[in-house]
Amino acid sequence: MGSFLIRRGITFLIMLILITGLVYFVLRLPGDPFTQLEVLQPHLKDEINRMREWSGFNDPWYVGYFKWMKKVVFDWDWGKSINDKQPVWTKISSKMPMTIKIQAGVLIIGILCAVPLGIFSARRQYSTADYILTFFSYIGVSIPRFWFGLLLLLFFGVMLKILPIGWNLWENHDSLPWIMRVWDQVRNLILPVSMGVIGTIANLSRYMRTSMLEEIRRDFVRTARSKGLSENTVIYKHTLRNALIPIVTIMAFIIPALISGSVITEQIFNIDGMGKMMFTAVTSSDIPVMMGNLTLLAALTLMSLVLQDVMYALVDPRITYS
Amino acid sequence: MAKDRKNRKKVTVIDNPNEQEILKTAEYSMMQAIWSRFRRHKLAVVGLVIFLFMLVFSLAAPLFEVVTGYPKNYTSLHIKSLPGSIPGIAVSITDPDWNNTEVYENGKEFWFTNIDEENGTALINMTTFENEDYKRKYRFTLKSLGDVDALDSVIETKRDDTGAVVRDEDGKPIREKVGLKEYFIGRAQNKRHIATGQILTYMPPKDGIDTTIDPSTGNGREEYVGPAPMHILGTDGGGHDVLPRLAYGGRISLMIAFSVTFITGLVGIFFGALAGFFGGFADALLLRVIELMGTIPLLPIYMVLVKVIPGGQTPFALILIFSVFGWAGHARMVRGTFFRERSQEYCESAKAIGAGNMRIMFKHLLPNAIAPVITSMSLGVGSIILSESSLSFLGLGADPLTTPTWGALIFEANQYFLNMPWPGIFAGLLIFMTVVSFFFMGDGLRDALDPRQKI
Amino acid sequence: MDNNNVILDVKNLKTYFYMSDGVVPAVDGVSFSVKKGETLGIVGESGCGKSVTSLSVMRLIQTPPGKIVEGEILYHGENLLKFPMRKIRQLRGSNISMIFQEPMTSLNPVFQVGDQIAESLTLHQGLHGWDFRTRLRSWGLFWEMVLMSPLFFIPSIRTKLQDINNRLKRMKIDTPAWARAIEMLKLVGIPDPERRATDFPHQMSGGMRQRVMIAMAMACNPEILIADEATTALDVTIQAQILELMKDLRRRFGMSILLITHNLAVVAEMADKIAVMYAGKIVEYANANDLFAKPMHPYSWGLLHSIPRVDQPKSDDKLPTIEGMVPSPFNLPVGCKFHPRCFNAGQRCKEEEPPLQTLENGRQIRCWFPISHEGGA
Repeated sequence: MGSFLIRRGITFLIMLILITGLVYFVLRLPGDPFTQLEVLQPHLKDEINRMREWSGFNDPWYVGYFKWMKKVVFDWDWGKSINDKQPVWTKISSKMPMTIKIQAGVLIIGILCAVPLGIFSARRQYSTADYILTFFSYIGVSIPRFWFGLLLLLFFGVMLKILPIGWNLWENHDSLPWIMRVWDQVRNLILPVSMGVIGTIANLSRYMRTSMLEEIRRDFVRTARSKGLSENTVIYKHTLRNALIPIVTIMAFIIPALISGSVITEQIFNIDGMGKMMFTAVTSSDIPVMMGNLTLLAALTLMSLVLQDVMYALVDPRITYS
Repeated sequence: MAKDRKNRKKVTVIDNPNEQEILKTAEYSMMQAIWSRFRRHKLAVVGLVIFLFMLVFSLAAPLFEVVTGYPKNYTSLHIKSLPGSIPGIAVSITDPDWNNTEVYENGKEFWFTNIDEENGTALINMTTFENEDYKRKYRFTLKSLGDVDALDSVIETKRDDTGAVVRDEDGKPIREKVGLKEYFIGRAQNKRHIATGQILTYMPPKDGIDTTIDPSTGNGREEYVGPAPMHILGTDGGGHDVLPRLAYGGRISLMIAFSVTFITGLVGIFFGALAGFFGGFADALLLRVIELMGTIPLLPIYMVLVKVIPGGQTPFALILIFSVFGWAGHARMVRGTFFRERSQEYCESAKAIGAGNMRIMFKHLLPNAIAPVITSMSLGVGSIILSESSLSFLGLGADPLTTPTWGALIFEANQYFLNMPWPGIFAGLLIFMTVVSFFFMGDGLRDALDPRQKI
Repeated sequence: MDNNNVILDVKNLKTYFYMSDGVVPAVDGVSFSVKKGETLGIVGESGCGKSVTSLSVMRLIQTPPGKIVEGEILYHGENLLKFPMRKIRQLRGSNISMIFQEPMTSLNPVFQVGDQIAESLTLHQGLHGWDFRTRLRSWGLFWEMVLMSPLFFIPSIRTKLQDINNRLKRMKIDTPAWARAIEMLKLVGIPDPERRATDFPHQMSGGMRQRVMIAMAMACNPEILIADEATTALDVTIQAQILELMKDLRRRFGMSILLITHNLAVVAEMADKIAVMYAGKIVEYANANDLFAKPMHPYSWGLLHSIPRVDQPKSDDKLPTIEGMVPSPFNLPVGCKFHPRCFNAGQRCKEEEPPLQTLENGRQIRCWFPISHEGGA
């Protein structure tokens, strides 16, 4: 296991370097954004040149990439945003908590709802409850998330006026007792989290159901029954343990998918998080911020792949890494 | 006797009572069998019906133009009023010169013609629509989402006269509340070339401010109307009738989804077949690629690519981008099947009678892989539509001016969604129905094509 | 017949499967009885309902689609079909055990085999296994060890550490249920059972796994052991070893075995009585010796004669086979179910189903024209 992790770690680094290099190359594809500005604002030539120099557009892409990487590795300097000249890392670290708050909510609530629902549905296969749940999971999978978010906003925020539209803390938030502060946060989190969680629940519970059904038909379940074990032991000990193995794989896919989701969630609810930063960076061609974000995404993706392997080995004794 | 034997051969009984599945193939052909099994799947039939409806609906787009009398880009002049303000557009200001300032509102261009510094407002012309003579003027003001009157000031980073950020002892930039007027003027003076995106709101035209007058009635021209006999599904922000635009949007959305699915299906079969059949290094490499592609967060990647690739916001480029990242799922299916089947006896025996690799791959193995691939392609259409509409919703899909996809219609509608939700609701409903129909059909196809694999 | 000795008495058992394409009478009026220490072999082709019979006895038929529609399963004179599931579960594994046909898949891949054997001991005999309390204790010990480990240079502490380490290592093995499980593994002839008990199923060979299955079934000394194709998936040598083991266990514990197989050699080796099943019905029920010497039903005759014999001179004649295939359960032939494949069938067979006739010596047969062995054919 140890040597496996070291090997995976090395692959991780190599992949990260390759991917960030590719990302940098792609981001540089549209060429120098200052040329256009030069034409529009000829009287600002000096300043434009200064900015161009500052953002590394004077070098070819590979030189720029290595300069960028050198700065990141040695000084932890991720560059500065072209838009507001704030250091990228400062921006990222100030916006990360908000995104993590929402997406962790989505992930935790999603798992807590989906796994029991999947088991329930599988145990009562072909019953009315199963059909209803399956139907709802179809809806959850295929409803466009942004649309669902807008509908939530419209219904709870505009029509019922019981939940805030967008991220809207009370004005005296900081002076409130802690319980009210928590409630204020929760109040604001409800809509974004429920928007994200619907797809997660639908997807995961479907996987869970399929996986459960597959395992429930296995011979060892019959063996367990023939031992005289109660139905609950058979399901929750023998079947569930096996059914969770493929779910671990899905986890690796879910975490990056949540990141994708955060772009839309934060855009709709006007939440100042990573997704919104990414979106703003993309629409205004803010290369340093995009670079920082995408590097983070690549690292997260690769990490969840390693995590998946490790989890696999933990839950499935058949898999050993040597 | 001969007939008898034929009957018997087609009937197999599996002994295992836990998999009491009786594989019965009756006297009709394979396609009929598939169809009859498909038909038994109620949801799949519902899906098929919805899909056919969508197909007819989108194909009939020109018809709606004729029937409603409103071409997709024609703006109605006789429209009722809109109450309240409209929240939420990101604007970045690219030119410090306030007269004739260029503003990007999620990619749309505005022209400031007039700055009212007293009120902190600006009048802008919108040149977003194809007919140039149609220029609307918006009162341009700074509002928070929701409560219109709450925010008359913004938090800004404090800057000195030269435009440099003022910092405190710790080196943190000082943030301060700035009045609206100061904000706009400060911006103008700071001569910052690329300003940050700020949430601004624009007011709908109101009496006295809006100057566009409908010549026939003399009323102020206002663009929004709910479902009414004149406009069955209402009109949208541009004053377009929603119905024909939805139909045209369906054409493009479905076209993109089908093209992508077709391309990714072929590419996936190709790579999956190669990797599954030959194994070894190619297989290991493909598995890694599939793993990576399945894991990367695609939406940010799409966003960046659309922006970066020249002409990225055209349907063709979108098809290309989606295809590059979409084949992994299909490839995994095919690879799995090939990998499993290549060691089966019939494959060995084909090899033994001297069939070439190509022949074995495409004659013997491919038919096994077709069923799962068709299923995954059917599900794929749904997810492509979802991806495409998400991207369009962010304003990064196909250009809503020339190609109104469903997502782009919601993107347009989003700007005034909380007050005038119907264009967005209808477009979203169509996306939802279409995607659900493909998921239903995918499930039905899986059961129909492969009766042994049951969920 | 001495009824006091009868442990299991199945009367007119009917198990049907309600499929979307129709009703499958998988078991259609089967009766047999098993005495103490007796071995009953149920023989037949694939799909004749023999597995369903055994699962019905265990009440393991999945409902839906399957359902026991009629009949009685008397265990010591009490009808199992009338029992509530709670009581059935008490019987399963302790009084009636079952060995399944797929040793590869019948063990749970994520639990150690010791755990899987110990589980039924915990359940039925109340022996403590690797349960929550024991685990908690081991955690306590573990942390004690961790906390004490910085002081390892003190000799007394070091011996104590070693002591704890040894205790930790043996903690699982020493729980009563595991100790018994290891005993069982030893009994079924697994070498080094203490180490093997902590193995996972995938670390064992097929024969080993089947031994584990037997150990699991035998753990609570059941009165009846149902072996459903227990040796089918194994190599011939392993098969012989497993059969030998089962015989040995039968002798030692005096249990009855219900041996379900399509392999006549296995039945010949093991069984006292044999029931031949065809299309959900028993067609011949006889003592093993009688059946092998004089098969009376054409189907039994066909089964016996389709085995190539080494002890007979090779001839150029084709090996006699039973023509045709097992009929589809959805449209069974009218009359005798076997008549389309029977070499001896007459007009009556096509019209009327023969009843199960009882001959001398308790022998039963379901045929209009049984093969007569008078002439010494």
